[in-house]
Amino acid sequence: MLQLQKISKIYWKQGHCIIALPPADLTVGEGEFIAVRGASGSGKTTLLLIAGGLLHPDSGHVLVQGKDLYQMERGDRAHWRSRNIGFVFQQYHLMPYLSVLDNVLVPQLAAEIGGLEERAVELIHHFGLASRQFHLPFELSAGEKQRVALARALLLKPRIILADEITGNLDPHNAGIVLRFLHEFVDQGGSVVLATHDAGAAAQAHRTLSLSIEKNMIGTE
Amino acid sequence: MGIGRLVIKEILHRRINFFSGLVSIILSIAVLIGVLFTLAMLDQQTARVLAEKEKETVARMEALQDDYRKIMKLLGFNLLIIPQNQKLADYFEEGQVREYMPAYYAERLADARLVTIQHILPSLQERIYWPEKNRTIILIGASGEIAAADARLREPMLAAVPRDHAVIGYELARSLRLKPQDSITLLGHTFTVQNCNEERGSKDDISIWIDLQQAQQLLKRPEQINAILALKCHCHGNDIDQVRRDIAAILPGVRVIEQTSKVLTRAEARDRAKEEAAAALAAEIANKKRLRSELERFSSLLTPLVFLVSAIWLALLFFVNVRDRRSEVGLLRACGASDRKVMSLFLIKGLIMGLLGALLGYLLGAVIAVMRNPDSRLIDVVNIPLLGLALITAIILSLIASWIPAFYAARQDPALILREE
Ligand SMILES: Nc1ncnc2c1ncn2[C@@H]1O[C@H](COP(=O)(O)OP(=O)(O)OP(=O)(O)O)[C@@H](O)[C@H]1O
Ligand SMILES: [Mg+2]
Repeated sequence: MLQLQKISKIYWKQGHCIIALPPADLTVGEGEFIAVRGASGSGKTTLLLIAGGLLHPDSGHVLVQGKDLYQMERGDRAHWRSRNIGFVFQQYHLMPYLSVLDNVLVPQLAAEIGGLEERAVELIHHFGLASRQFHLPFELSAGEKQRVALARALLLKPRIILADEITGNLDPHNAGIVLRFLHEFVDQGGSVVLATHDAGAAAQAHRTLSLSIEKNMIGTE
Repeated sequence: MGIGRLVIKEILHRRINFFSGLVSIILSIAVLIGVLFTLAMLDQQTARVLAEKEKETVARMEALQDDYRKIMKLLGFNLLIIPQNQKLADYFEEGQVREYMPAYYAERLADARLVTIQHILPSLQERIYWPEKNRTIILIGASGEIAAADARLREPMLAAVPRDHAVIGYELARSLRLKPQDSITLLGHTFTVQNCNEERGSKDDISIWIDLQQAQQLLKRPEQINAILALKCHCHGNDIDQVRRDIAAILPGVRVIEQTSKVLTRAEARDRAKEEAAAALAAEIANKKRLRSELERFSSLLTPLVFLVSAIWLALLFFVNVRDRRSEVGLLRACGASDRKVMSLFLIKGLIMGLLGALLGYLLGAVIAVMRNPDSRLIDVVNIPLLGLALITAIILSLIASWIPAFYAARQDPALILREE
């Protein structure tokens, strides 16, 4: 479904070469829950961004249904992303001036699809936010915010959720709730790639990809 | 949720950003519209002043023309033909002619068809004692105009006093309490008062005009006259001597006296008034034009400057807005929003700003301009073409100013944004 082949990312800064992501392989199949582990700076976020079509790798290929994602036109890649990927971030990225309901509906705006209000309300109920539907983000707790972000990611029924450190700001109880929703999504045939340095969260995954930090300390030029 | 709703919510959320942009558009449009309004009103004023002055001039000319006609009818002449043996000194002293000449002189003069002489009016006048009323008057016998052969084209200058009728001078009418249709007896003859003249402050005020033949009978001067008024209305020039010579050739034994013609004086006054009015008008128009061109020059510098500053300020505000909304843009990208979509967030905001700014700026500019102009009414604020111009200009301004930041927003690297804490 999504194949990362030897993808890597290198940044050059003042003559120094920073390997943001050493060459990595990952195949995400249907209904798989994959954890990406590694210390801070090991390239977890970089990997997710490349997988989601938001960051050009410096080497390797990202294949979707046999096609190289980065050979596509910019617009086509955006379109593919809107229909297939649900991103969830540690920082939520909620629009501060939109209600919970409107925030959940943002992807419909990006994807230029209409008529998803009912599904949005359903998701809000499902995530236990019914009483919060018309609240603004600043009125929500961290756990609630992350659930809104998750509901938003699910609006367009993506095939893969790319979740970056989504339990990082949450207490264990709320982290547990969020992880349960991810499992639920996987049980319904979706795939999850969860970047985390939380061993507990990683333990719930079917598979774990470990990125090690030593590898990206190499070389100066 | 549509994009419009998102944009409006964002506007309400970041009010200061939006309103500082709005204010700058309002001010630019107000300057533009205020200037255009003022220019248009100046033009209107000029046109109105022109029309008013023209009407005024016409009215004044008509009044003068009217005076002129009256004077022509009653007093107006510039050549007086009197018998040669009349002593001039006596004439000027007494103001009347005591010598006589044949009445047919008038016809002879008319038949000579001197082109410069337009009207020929023979008269017989004498200072007499009015026994019935016990006072001295000047009795004037006047025939109507003597028709020259080609006189049919000319308006008669003086309607003759009909037989048995009299026209009474002001002072006489006043002191004897005479009014039209009254009867008076003069030297044993009864006349009906035809008309009483207005005050002229001359011997006319103690004069009575009657039919020439009746005057000749009453004064026992049959077939005699003592003056011919030759009215030469269309002659402005210095050919008076020529006319004098022409007359002397036709009528032997007459003296031609040039009178300071009130007609000519009036005509000249009229021409001068006309010229003065025209000059005053020209000065006024020139003044208005100068004012207009000064304003135009000033505003042709000010307006672009205001717009430039406004555009820079707007662009700055939009850049700030783009920075504030990096996270939003990043998320939209992650959700698969196209470049167009991301740009439209900012362009729609710019459009709303432009529309609102145009309307409010138009109102502000128009109301101030109209209020500063004492003779325009509030309804003048409604000017559809100017409103259209305000809308177009404001929208162009806000779109230009928001386009570059919007483009920049769409070109931001989402990877960088989304990595931010
Ligand atoms: N634009 C950039 N320029 C230079 N270096 C970068 C840039 N983006 C990322 N890096 C570097 O790449 C490395 C990997 O970053 P990344 O964010 O993927 O790590 P991470 O595993 O997600 O870390 P964390 O757990 O703290 O989120 C880091 O050392 C980071 O400093
Ligand atoms: Mg990270």
